[in-house]
Amino acid sequence: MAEPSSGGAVYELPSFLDILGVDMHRHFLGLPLHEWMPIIMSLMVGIFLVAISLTATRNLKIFPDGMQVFVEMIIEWFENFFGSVMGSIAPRYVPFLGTLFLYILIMNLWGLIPLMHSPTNKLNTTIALAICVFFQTHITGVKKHGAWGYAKHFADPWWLAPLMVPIHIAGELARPLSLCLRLFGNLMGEDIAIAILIGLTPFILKVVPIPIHSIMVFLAILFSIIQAVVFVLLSAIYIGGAAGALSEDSKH
Amino acid sequence: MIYFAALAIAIGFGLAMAAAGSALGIGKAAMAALEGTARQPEAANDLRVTLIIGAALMEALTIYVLVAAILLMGKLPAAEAIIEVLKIR
Repeated sequence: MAEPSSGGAVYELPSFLDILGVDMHRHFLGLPLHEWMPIIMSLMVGIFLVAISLTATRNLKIFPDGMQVFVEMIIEWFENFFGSVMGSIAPRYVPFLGTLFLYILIMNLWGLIPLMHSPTNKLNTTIALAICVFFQTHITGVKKHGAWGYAKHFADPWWLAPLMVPIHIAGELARPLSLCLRLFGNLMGEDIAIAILIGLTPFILKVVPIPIHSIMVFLAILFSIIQAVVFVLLSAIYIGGAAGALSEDSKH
Repeated sequence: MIYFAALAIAIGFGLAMAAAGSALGIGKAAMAALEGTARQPEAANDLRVTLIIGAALMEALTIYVLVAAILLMGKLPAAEAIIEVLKIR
C-alpha cells in the first residue's frame, strides 16, 4: 500500500481519486491533480460542516430537540472555554474561534476515514489558517488601541526601543510560523506513521491481516483533538493579548 | 558515501535528541502541574490550560526538528540506488 516515491520520503495512503483511477499527474488549472487534494478535501469538510449547521438550525425551537441540542451544547462549551481564556471580550470572538476549532478538528479527523486525506497534513492549509489568525490578531489590536497606540506596545520601555522593536516584530512573525508548523508536523507525522504501519501489516497464513496500525489510529484521534484545542487556545491567547484583555482579567 | 552516512545518522540522532529534550521538559511541567493540582484542587482548570499551552510550545520544538528531518530525508538516495553503486564496486 504505502509506496515510497522516488525521493523515498513520502508515504501516503490511496485516496478515493486513486481508487477511481484518476491520473494524479494530470494538470488542472496549471497544478497537478495531487496538489488539488487538500483543496478538494477541505471543501468536502466545509460542505459537511455547513450541512450539519443547516440541518440543526432549519426549524429552531424554544425547547430544542435532536441536532439543535447537540449544536447548542457545543456553542455553550465554546463560550465557557473562551470566556475562561479571554475574559470579558470573549463573546465577540467566539464565532471566529469556534469555527476555526470545528474546521480544524474535522479536517484532522478526516484523514482517518478510509479513502480520505487530512487537508492539514499539507503545509498550504495550515499556513492559510495561521495567516487568518495573524491578521485577526493585529486588526483586533489596532481596533482596540488605535494604530499609534498599538504600535507603541512594540517599543515598551522607550529607552530600549532600538532593541525591543526588532525583537517584538520577530516574535509576532514567529507566532503564525509556529502555529502552522505545529499543526502540519503533528498531522503529517501521524499520517506517515499510520501509512508505514499499514505497509508493515502481517498476515496470518497469508490471508488474514492483523491490524497493527489500530493503536496508532487511537493515538491519532487523541492528537487530532489536542492539536485542534492547542491551535485555537493559542489563537485565543494571541487575540486576547492584542486586545489587552489578559492583563485586566487575569486577577479573577 | 560518507556524506550520506553522516546525513542519515544526523537525521536519526537529531530527532531522538530533540524528542528526549521535549520529553524531559513536558515531564517536568506535568509533574509540577500534578503537584499543584494535588495541593490545591480548585486551581485544576487554570493549571490544565497553562499545562496544555506549555506542552504545546515544548512539543513544537520537536516538530520543527521533525519537519527538518523530513526535508533532509528527501536528500537521501533510495536503497536501490545505493545497492547499484555497491554492485559496480
